[in-house]
Amino acid sequence: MWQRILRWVSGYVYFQGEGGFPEQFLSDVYSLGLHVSDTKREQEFLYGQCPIKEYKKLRKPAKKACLRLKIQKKSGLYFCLFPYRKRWGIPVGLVLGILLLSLLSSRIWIVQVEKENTDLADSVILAAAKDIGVFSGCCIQDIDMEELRLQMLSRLPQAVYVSVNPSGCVARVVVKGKEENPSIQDFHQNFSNLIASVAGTILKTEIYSGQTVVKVGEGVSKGQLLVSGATLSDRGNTYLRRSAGKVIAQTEHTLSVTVPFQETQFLPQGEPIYRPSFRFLCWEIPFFDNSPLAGQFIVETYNRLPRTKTVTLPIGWVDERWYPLTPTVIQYTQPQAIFEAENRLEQQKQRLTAQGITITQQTNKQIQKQSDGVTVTVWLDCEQDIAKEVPLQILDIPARN
Amino acid sequence: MNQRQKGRVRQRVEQIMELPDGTLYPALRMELCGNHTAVIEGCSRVLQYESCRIRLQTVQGDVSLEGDCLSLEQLEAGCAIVKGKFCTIGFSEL
Repeated sequence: MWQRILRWVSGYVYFQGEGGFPEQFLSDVYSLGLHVSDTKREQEFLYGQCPIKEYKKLRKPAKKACLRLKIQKKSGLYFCLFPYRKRWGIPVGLVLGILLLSLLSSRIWIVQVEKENTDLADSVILAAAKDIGVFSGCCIQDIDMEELRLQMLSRLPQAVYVSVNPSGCVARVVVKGKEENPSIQDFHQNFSNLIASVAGTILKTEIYSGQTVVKVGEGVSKGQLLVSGATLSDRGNTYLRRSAGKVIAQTEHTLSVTVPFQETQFLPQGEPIYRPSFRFLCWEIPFFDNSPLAGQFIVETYNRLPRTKTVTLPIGWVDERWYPLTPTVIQYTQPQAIFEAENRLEQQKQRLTAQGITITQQTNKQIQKQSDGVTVTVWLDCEQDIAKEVPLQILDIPARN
Repeated sequence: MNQRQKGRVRQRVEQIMELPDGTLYPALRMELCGNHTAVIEGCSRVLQYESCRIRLQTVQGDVSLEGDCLSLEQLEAGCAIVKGKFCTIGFSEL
C-alpha cells in the first residue's frame, strides 16, 4: 500500500508498446536500471508503467527494439496539481492554514473552572490562575504543573486541592474547598457575660459555658444579664469563665415604611447605548467609540458565545447595553402608594430573615394616610438569638482596714 | 582460472562450509506461491514474452513458464516477478 502511495506521489505513466521485439526492449530496460513494472502482453501490444522521470529514457531501448511507445494514461500528484499551477493562493493558503493550526493548537484558549465544596467566585480563581501564568493564550507546556499547584494553593487559602488539567486547547482548573473545622474555644480566658441584645421572652437556652441566671419563659429586658461568667463552686469559690451559648427568645419588631405620593427616582430611561465587541480567542475587538460616557448608567452584558456540551468557545460577540439613568418624578395614587409600601416592607422582612431572625407571625398592621403620603407599619413576632457577649469587668476592691 | 572454474570453486566452498546456495556464487532461486505467482532471482534477460509463455535467461540456464494470462510484474535487480496461471515450468541448462 505504501508503495502505491509513494508511486502516486512521484507520478507514473501507463504506456503501450506496439510492434518490434518486446523481449529485447525489456532486457535493455532492465540492463539500464530503469523501473518498468506491471507489464502485460496482449497480441502484438506490450503494456507497462514507469515513473514520469524515466519515460523519456525508454525511447532509446524502444527505438533499438523497434517498439513504438505511446502514453495511455498519466497518473499521480503532479498531474492532479498541474491544472492549478497558476493558482498560487491554494498552496499558500494551505501552508498558512497548517501554520495557524499548529500555532493555535500549542496554546490554551479556554480556561474553565470546576469547583467542589467551595464558595470561591470563578473570577477570583481565574485571577489567581492568571497571576501564575494560566490564561487565555498561554503556552501550557512552559508551565511546571507542580509549582503551579503550590502557588495556586498559596493564593487560595480556602482551597485544599487545586489542579490545572490541560486538554487540547482547554485548561480545566479544579478547586476543592476546605471543610471548616469547628473552632475550639478556650473558656478559661477572655472572661465575659452574655446579656440580652433586645427585650423578649426566653423560649430556649443552649449554654456551653457560664452560669445561667434566667429561666425559660422568663421575660428579659435589653441589657439584662442572661449568663454570668462568674460561677460559684460548691465550696463557695468563685471562678471566672468566658460565657458562651445561645438564648432563643421571642421578640417583637416593628417595621414602618413611608411612601410619598410624589418622589424622584433614578430610573433607566431612553434608548440604550449599544457597545458590541467581537471576542476572538483572548482578544476583544471593540466596534464602538471608546470615549467615556457622562452620567449614570446601568450596564447589561450579553455574551453571544457558542457553547458545546462542556465548553464555551472563545469566539463570538459580546454586547453591552448602557441604559442611562435619569431622575424621574413618580406619582403614586393612594392604592399605588400602599402597594409600594407593602413591597418595601417585604424587602425589609427579607433583610431581617437574612440576619438570622425568624418571623413567626405578623400581629398587627396599620396604614396611615397623610396628605402627602402613606405610612404602613407592621408589628412582627420573631424568634432570635438574643445573647450578646460582653467582657467581664474586674474591679479592684480596696482592702478594708 | 576462468569464470566457470571460479564459479565451481565458490560452489565447492559453499558446500564445505554448509552455506546457503547463492551466498558466494550467483544462483538461480525460485519462489512459487500457488500456481499464480513466481519470484525468480538470478535473471539476466527476457528471451520470450507472450501471454501464454515467458522465457527468462538466468545464471543457471533458461526458465520457461507456460500458462494463461502471464505477465511480468517486475524485472529489476536480477529479480523477476511473474504472475498468471502457470501450467508448466521448465528448465534448460546453459
